[in-house]
Amino acid sequence: MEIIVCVRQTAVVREELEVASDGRSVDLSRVNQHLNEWDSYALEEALLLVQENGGSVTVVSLGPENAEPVLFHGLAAGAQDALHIVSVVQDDIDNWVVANMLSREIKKHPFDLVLTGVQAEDDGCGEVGATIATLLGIPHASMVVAVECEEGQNTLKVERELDEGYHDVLRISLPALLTIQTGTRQPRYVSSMRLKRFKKKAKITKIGFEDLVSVGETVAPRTELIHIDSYQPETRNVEILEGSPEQTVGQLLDRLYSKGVL
Amino acid sequence: MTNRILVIGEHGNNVIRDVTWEMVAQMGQIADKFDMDVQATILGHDCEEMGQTLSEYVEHLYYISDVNLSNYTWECYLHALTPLIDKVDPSLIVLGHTAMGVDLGPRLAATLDCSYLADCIDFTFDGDDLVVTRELFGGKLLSKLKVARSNRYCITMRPSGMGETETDKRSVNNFTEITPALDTEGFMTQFLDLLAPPEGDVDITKAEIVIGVGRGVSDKDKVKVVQTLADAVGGVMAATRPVIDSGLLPKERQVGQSGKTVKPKIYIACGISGSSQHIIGMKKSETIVAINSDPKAPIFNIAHFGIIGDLNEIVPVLTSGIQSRK
Repeated sequence: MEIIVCVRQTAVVREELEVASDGRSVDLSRVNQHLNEWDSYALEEALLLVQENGGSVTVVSLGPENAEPVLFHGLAAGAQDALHIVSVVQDDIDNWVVANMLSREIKKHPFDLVLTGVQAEDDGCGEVGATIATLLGIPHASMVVAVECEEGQNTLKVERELDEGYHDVLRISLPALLTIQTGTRQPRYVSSMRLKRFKKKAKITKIGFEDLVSVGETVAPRTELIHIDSYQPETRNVEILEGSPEQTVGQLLDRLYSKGVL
Repeated sequence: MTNRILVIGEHGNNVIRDVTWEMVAQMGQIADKFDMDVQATILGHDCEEMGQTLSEYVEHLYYISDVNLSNYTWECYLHALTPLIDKVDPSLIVLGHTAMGVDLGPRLAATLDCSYLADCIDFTFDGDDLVVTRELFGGKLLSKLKVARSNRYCITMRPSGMGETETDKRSVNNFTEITPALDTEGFMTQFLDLLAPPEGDVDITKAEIVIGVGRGVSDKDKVKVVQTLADAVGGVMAATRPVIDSGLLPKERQVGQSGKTVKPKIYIACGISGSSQHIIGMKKSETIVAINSDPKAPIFNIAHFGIIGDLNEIVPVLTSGIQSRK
């Protein structure tokens, strides 16, 4: 089974995040970035499927030059090939452009399955997977928590997570795209030693936007980010209790007892 | 641009889901403000009654009835919806940011070749431009986006994000049933089964006091510390998705969009940052207490009382404080 996994580098959500001086991007200069958590589960699912059924895994990422570490991570984790669609600062990119470019690159390779994470930690859109599937004319399934190859048939049985604790089970024909939910198959650990070794010797295929569009053709973004703000909802009415742990807890209990909720 | 909005309604267990009412209410306001029409559709089999109910609140309700729509698949829904969209010609298509909306929204938008924006918490028109507000980094930052001008936009709206569920009846009661007789021969996806949520020893939806734990509770020892608090206060422990994923608590303890919705008298959130998926499942709690080391954590946006600090320090003090006041 030939599997292509789309991965992306994102800032770590737990980091202190500040809006950059342009007012429309996040200042990433002092922020740790890593492989998007959902993508790490997609990568793990791909590696396990290949372990069980044979085949190979290719990781592909669209991002700036400094997004290379996620591709080295993919290779160090066990992927055979890595493709980097390199974007430059001037590129006007939104999720539509990302999905469009990725689908153009994916088309050039033989594949049975494309995997993505359900969403990215930064924008949480969950748009790219199903959009790629549409552009490739293949079926998709979102929020997949379990994948089973059906012997002798060109199909997969997938279990998806729905709302309120429900799941459903689908049969989907190959080639297909699945967006993988975080879940029970924990991504494998890649040691920093191993990662270092791969950074020294592993090869990443570089692709430019110009390699994916014909002369004179542009893939225009469909959305324009106007500005980013720190989140200060007007309705925030929390009372932050101050002092030592004993003091804050004392104040909290006073309030809960006087409200009669305890 | 036409002046029509089409809401793709959702239902489950034979009831119209809250998100559908929220969309209808919110779109009603947009329609009044920008002189538009709200139309809606419900897809399914044997759901005429729900369609009739909903039809009283929109200008027109299309009930698409087919046995192949008994259970959702994007493929059947897409085939049922595209002829309707051709006919209604809406400039705005609205879905909930739910399991269905996340699956269907981008597929529908890409098929119709229109712009798509997910998980919107607010939006307005600026001339013919659609301007939406959405969260970044799980609610730490807010972004405002303008959608490139086009004849059609497709968005998903965050459930409970706008809080508006009360809506007036519209004067017109127009109901149309469509029977597309879907031919699923050659379809690439096939629905096989619907799995009900697991049942456990404790029903967290019945508890009056719920102690929720998030990523800040990262190992068994920390779970024990919080369990001691739960025992002291007579509450039950629940958790966010990452904690459930890590196997520290069983699945039936999960609170949030893909888990359970709780409305206890007190919800004490320990080490929970407050992702929108979690907040959906507990925001209707009567009193919310949040203990978190990050003062910018979105959980404080909905909490009533907040303590900023390390839960390993705070929780034992809280436990002994409760024990000493008994």
